[in-house]
Amino acid sequence: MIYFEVVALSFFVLAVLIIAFILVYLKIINVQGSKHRKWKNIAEILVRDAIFNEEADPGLVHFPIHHRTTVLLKNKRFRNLLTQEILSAKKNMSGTAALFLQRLYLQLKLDEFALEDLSSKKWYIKAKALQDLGIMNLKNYLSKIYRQTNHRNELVRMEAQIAVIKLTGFEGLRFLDVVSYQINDWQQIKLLNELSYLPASNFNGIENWLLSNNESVVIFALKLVKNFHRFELHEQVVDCLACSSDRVRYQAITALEKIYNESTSAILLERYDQEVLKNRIAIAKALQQIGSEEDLPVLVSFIAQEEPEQKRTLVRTIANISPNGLVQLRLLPESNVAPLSLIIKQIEGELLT
Amino acid sequence: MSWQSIIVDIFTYGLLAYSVLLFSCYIFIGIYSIGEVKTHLFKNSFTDFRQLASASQAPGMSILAPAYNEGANVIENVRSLLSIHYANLEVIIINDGSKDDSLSKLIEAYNLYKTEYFVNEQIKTKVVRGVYKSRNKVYKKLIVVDKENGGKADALNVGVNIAQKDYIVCIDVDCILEQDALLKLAKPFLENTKQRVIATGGVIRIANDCVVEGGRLVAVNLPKKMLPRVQTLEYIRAFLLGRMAWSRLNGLLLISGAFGAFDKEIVIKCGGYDHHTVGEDMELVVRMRRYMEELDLPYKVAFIPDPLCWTEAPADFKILGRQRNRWTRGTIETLKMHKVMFFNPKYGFLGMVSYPYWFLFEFLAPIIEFVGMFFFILFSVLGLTNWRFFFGLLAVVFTFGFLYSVFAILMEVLTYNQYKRRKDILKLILTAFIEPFVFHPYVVWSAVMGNIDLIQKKNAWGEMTRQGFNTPKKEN
Amino acid sequence: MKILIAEDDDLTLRTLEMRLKKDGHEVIIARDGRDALVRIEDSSPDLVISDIMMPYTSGLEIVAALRERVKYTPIIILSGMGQEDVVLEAFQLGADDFITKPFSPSELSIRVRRFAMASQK
Repeated sequence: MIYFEVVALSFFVLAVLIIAFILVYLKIINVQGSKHRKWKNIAEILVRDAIFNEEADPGLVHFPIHHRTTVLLKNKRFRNLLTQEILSAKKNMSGTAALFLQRLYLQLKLDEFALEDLSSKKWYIKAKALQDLGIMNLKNYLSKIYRQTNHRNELVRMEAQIAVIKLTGFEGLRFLDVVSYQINDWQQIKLLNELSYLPASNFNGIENWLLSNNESVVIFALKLVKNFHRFELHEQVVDCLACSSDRVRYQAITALEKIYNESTSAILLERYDQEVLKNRIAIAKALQQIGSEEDLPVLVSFIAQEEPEQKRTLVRTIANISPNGLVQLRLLPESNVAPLSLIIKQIEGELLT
Repeated sequence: MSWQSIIVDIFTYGLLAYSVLLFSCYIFIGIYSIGEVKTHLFKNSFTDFRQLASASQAPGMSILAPAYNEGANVIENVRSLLSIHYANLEVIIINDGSKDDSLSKLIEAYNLYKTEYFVNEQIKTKVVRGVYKSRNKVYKKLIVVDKENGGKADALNVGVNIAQKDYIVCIDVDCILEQDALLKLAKPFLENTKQRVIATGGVIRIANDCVVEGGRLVAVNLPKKMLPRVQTLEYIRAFLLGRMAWSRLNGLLLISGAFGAFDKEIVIKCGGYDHHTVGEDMELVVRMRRYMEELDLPYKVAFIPDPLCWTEAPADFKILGRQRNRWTRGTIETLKMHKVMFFNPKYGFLGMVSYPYWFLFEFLAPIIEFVGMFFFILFSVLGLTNWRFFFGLLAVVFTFGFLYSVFAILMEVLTYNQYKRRKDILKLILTAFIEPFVFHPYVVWSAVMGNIDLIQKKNAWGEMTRQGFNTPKKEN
Repeated sequence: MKILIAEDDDLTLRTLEMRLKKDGHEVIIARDGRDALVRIEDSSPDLVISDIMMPYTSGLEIVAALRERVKYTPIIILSGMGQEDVVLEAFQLGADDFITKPFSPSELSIRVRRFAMASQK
């Protein structure tokens, strides 16, 4: 029986200890808060002076650093705060302003700390260091960064992949040759976003990536074809339509929409019957952009077999290809009964607006 | 030993065993959630969500917001939904046969016209009277649906039928969303390559006494009234510890109806929201999981702990009681509909852990507590109570509850720290101390009443009257 | 020239402000879309520079609102890269120019000068 009292008492003591910890923690936060505001001010001034520097050559500039700031730099918290300020400015600036910011970063030797973090065993510190070096565009660390692009921690390799593209542009994509992990959709969005900053270039490698054993690499390669309009790869993309993965075929369909030639719509329509619903929808949507008068009879013939949702997509495609499309649709016996009659009405309404 | 004392012994030691089991689960949940919260925060710290806002590859999301007699605030609420950062978005407001002027107000404010729209009835619903769109190009994301009244589940199903994007986001129209809410909710759908993410749940936080301007939360305050304040604590406990741990185990059974995203294809294949239950939000998640288990497809239900959605909590006992009564009925109905999974190894973790946990601790806990009290009084009258044992156990239960709440407050302070002032945190701790005496017995009572009502087949939705958000509330 | 900048990122906002003030323009700042609309009404700027993603009211709505006004006010949209669809939408609604982030302050000042010259004609 006595145990109950002991257990209850120990729970209570533990709760009190946690409360004490919370109060101490809040106190520390509070004190740091006011210091933080002061530091932020110092950091902002440094960053602003760097951006609006009048010096013509960013390579020569030497920023005057107050002695107080030099001392503060030994403090890790201040350093992190200043680094953050420089990084967020760098993300928004280009041209000479960006070069001045890089100069400031190097002059304060912040890269040395990033390098130290890079060999940390904690994944989030490592990943952050990779991100920082990439944003600051420090090319001399390329080989160290490149090594991490197939790191077993997902976040680390994601940041490394982004960083190599920041540093070397399309050249950086060569990590796709060796990457053994799947590249998730979120990472693909980030990579494509990164590539969109670069001046257009006819980079190599897509042909090989289209044949990769890593499904996500094939999907990414198809997105590259799409985004960079690589018309010359039409044939290879068509080959992907025979792939066993639904997701790959889906990407191939949407890629063909962007690099179509006179044979594309016929190829897609031929695939239509064997495809899964999601891909049939994709084909119908692609035809809305690239279809022509000749495709109408085949498209109209698909209507009967489909579920209402897909009927709607098909009707929209047919109506958008040519006014003649709606005429042909109305010849169908089922065009006077729901749902098709209602669908046609909806699409007619859409065409008017 | 007399037979009476044998009964008393069975009863007391049974109660003790149950408490020990319950405590073990809570301790496990508390500790297990820490790692998940930590990983999430580290990941967030260097993620730029804005990249998703305008990416053409971002998954399409349809917001479904059912509205019933929301005329007072509907214009503002829709405005706030339209200002959410997300390009691949449509906002579908479903007017569930409101008796007020909601629809005409919307038509006027957003320059709406009635379109010829074919509603594909993939899920059977009440009649749709019209689908409206705006003539103003800026509002091209907006769709307003007018339908005959059929309740929340039916309204959401209409939304599912009309939605044209791949994912649906169900929210209460009067919730206040952070502007990056959808970005964070959409990301888990993009992250998994091995499992299909079928749903993502978000956190609900209590908005009472917070400052709201133009449909946007500008300042977070701790509720001044006792009742919403206890619920603030309750929500922190449930979302930051409970759901986080369950999500790490991939055993999450409940996504709040006020804020969650779902894979539309699976929702339709499962038949949408079930309007036979008052707990349609929980039931849908359970059904979707069951569907994936039965087809043996790898899947995940994700959860985002960031405070993204703020809603007003009931501020008086009567409405709170009705809400909890309804939650109880929803839980029981859901458990009943899917009882085949109870300790059924065919359903894997879902059948062997999630479902039994929900049954033993979410459904049974209030009943056991209530019955325990009842017998205690009975035994006391009969002079059979072992007082020392009773008060000892009570003290353990009470201190454990307090410790768990304090731990939740600690996690809140270390992570999102929404209530920055020391005074507020102290108030929360005091609330944790008082809760077992006032709030908790009432919640248990409401849950027991829910059981009784269900037996008597009272299925009506407890009406939830809310105080409006319309006027910016000034802090005193 | 009187220029209104609507941008919710503090650093970008102040960089723009400093650059344009240096160039001798009068600068009005707004930290969210709703504030921007109020200030447009109050001070009738000659040029608006606006971010797309902002609290309360998006840059697109500001474009639409500007085009409903009697006085023609040119508007430059600030956008991130890879936002082609949104930029296109902005142009359909009547935006005059766009600048992508990351941007170079000096390039911005050249573009603004172009609008200033056009307004003097």
